[in-house]
Amino acid sequence: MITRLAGGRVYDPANGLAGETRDIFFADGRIVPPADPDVTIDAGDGIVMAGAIDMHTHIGGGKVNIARLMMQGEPGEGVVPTAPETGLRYAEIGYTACFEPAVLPVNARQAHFEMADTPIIDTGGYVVMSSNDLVMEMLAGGESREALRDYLAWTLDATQCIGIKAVNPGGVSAFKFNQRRLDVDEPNAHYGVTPRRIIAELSAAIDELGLPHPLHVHTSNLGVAGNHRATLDTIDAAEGRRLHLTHLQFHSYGDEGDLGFSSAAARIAEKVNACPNITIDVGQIMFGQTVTVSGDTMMQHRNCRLAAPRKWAVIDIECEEGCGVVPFRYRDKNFVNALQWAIGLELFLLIDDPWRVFLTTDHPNGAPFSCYPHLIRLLMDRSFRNDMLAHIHPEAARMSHLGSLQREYTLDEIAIMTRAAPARLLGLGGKGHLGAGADADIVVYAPDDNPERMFARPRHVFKDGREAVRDGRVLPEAARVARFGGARTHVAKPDYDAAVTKRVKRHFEERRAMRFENFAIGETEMAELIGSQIEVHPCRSR
Amino acid sequence: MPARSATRDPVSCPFCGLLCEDLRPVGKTFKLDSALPAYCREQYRRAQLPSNCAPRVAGREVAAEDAVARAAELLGAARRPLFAGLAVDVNGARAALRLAEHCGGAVDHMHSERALDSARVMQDRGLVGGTLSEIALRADPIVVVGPRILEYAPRLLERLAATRANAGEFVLLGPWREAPGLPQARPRQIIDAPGDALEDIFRALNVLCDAPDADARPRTAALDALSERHGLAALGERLAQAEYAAIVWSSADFETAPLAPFSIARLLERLNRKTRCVGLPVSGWRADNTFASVGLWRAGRVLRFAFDDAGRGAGEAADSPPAAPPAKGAAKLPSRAPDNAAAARLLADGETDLLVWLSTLAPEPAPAGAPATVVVGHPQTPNADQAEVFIPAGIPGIDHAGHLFRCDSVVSMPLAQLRDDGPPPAAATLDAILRRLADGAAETAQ
Repeated sequence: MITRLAGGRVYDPANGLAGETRDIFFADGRIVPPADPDVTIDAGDGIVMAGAIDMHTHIGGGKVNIARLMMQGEPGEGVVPTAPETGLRYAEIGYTACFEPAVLPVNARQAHFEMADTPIIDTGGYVVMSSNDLVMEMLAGGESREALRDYLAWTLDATQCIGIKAVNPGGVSAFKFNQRRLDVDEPNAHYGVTPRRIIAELSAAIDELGLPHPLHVHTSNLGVAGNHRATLDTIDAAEGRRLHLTHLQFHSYGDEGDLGFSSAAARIAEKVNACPNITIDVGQIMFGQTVTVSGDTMMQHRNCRLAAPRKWAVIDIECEEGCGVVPFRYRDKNFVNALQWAIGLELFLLIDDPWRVFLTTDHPNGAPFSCYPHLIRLLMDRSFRNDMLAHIHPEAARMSHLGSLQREYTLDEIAIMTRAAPARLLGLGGKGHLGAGADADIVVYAPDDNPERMFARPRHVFKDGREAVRDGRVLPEAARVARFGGARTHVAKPDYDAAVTKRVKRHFEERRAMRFENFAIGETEMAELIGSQIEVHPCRSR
Repeated sequence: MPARSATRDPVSCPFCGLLCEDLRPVGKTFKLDSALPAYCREQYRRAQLPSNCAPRVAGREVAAEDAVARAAELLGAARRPLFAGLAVDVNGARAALRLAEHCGGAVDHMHSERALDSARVMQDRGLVGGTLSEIALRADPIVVVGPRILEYAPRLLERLAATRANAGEFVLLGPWREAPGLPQARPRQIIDAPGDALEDIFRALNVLCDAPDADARPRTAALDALSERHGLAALGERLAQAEYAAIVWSSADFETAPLAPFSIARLLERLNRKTRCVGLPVSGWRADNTFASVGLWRAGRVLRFAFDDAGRGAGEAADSPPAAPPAKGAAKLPSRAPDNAAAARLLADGETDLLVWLSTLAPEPAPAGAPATVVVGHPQTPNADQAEVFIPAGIPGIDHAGHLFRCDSVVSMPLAQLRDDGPPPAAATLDAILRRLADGAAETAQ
């Protein structure tokens, strides 16, 4: 059955459309060339875009579940929705694919169970490998680049993930050996390996594997005044190779001024603008109650005294990584929080290329994803932004450049930043655009001078060509948790030499309380027991 | 999935939170190495199929679809169903929650009383924790509170001592008489304190380690005497000087002192200001932590809760018709007032009209007291004829593949299928009941 979505104003940056009136045709879950339609839906004056993609959002896995437990009965109880709610609420604001950025290898099964119970939206994960005991052993022991590369590829396959993540590289391991800080050129107390080396080796291995997605990096010294230096050092550590810096707001702090905390967004933006190999997502904070969930045990422990309400958890995990959960309240009248808010917006506005900057709040760490429409308005509407600026701590407002930044994002730039660019960076050829062959993930917005209203309540959301949302409400047939339409998990499976499994098995036998044979998630297991169909994306040879 | 040969590869055992991966059950009787604890061997022995393994309605054998139909009829008519037991694997838990979401009513895991003691520490305070591999590899000393912890995890000491690279000492805290499974080579110290002194022991350790807090007890002569008697100053000093220590406990040893784990959490918080020390609350008895995890990600609630509105959930089975869409805005989570959902109280006070009892990992009998009972359970479940409906279900890790969460609640272990002539998985039966209910609702709506 061919459906024609007639007459909408199409924003499809990947195919050069910025508001032109076009019909979109789709059938069997895909966009097709124009053909005689069986059904016509009138898009009216609607704005048409591909489904949005959140490429960094904590939607599944043990730490997310701990956050759910901790926030029960607290103000802000719903900041981490259940898996079923997560899918519905994302779909209702026009998102059709979301990626969990911190899958701990041994916890991958849980992440995938939760993603399988997340309706409507496609999902995927990045597996954390930057404090992994075996990676650290390989680097400390001078084992070959090939062995490291094969181990990364094997792990991607075994954990059914699409990308590799670094979280405070080497630092989560260092914390197990009682190190409380780890700068980019500081060696891990036990393994003697520096974050710089980890970044260099992992990014090189990823390039050799031809993975579409670059190393996705939560850099050293998150949240520390002056940490912009670690961010700049991390960019240099990639030696010109591709790198994605995540929730960059938390890593763009200076240490100037009376309070020893300032914005370094301009310095960071300048560097990002000058380095075309670098992509970033912002990790914007919003004022209010939330909970921070992170693989960065070192920094979560450092920040535990700031927990609000006063409870927190930090867990060392299976000779791989760790996780930390710290509830947090951002206050507009708190100098540091106010400046954090401004810094995120500065980054958005100072980084020139919308193909290299992505809209995230690092849900839920900066704010729950429900605030995305509000964030879009802040980017598109300068006078609204300045009104908000007038309400924050005055000293923070004064220190920030935000008031002087004129830029307003256009709809075309929003479409790039939330659709076309994340699809490209993840190697999702069928997403983020509306050309023939693309997945029929289509959103129609009612035009509105208020972007927050517009993006909060799509007229239609189609997922794989089936209508999932109408007038901002999930339709009954889409509300079930069974994977609606073709909701699936996106993975990458670069080639590797199976001989590496001998090395991995030896590591398990010597150090792990789990049998090597039970680690990997099989395809039948994924499809029949966990309940997710996978879609494998090709890797490029370089 | 095809049944594996039980003798070729070791299998993962589903019968406690350790999920040991080295068992080799032999033959149809699932005979195990006699060196294994009696508990382990008994669970496998009990997994043998009884001579009568058929579904029953009011004690009479019926076809499976008739049992499903009768169960759906009862659930459809029930105004205040109670879903209890819930000793099932991940997919059993997902299916149970799909059904409970659709029907409404109370949900209460059979081990919730004890398991909530553990969950509350994480919920209300948090924890510095470590998983099994971390502790087995790095910890010295490893403090293990017991010995009742062995009721939940019989091979715990063996598993904690399994990593050869670690020669660290065990400190067994409590009225331990032996250390089953602990290799001779591993040094150990027993602090032989009675079970009812354990709460005070952790208070004393907090005082010794200078863990000030609003709810900390002050130093008293009684605590001093306790410290003196059991050498707690030396233990406190060891923990403070250790590079990486661990404290392992379970709610079994704190039955009469449910707040004691909060003292442990406070001690861990204090120690981690200067050094590294992680806690491991051992869970996984009758898959309590599996149900806790699934309940949290699906319903946002842990172990014991009530869906306030019957029929509010959307039917989940693949071909069931749609129900009303969920409300926009803040999601209405199930009620978390635990008393509203405590199975024992609901049954005693006559506040439920239908008990749905699920237990596939052990033949636990359904409690009495409900006007009618539907049991989906282990083939050897006793009193099956007393239920209005009894549907035998496969044992996870024996009759069908599946997953369970390990005792540290981070690792989920895959389970294999060992035979293919057992009853169907509980999830399949529960989903069939849900489809009947959803189809029935659609017919009524038309």
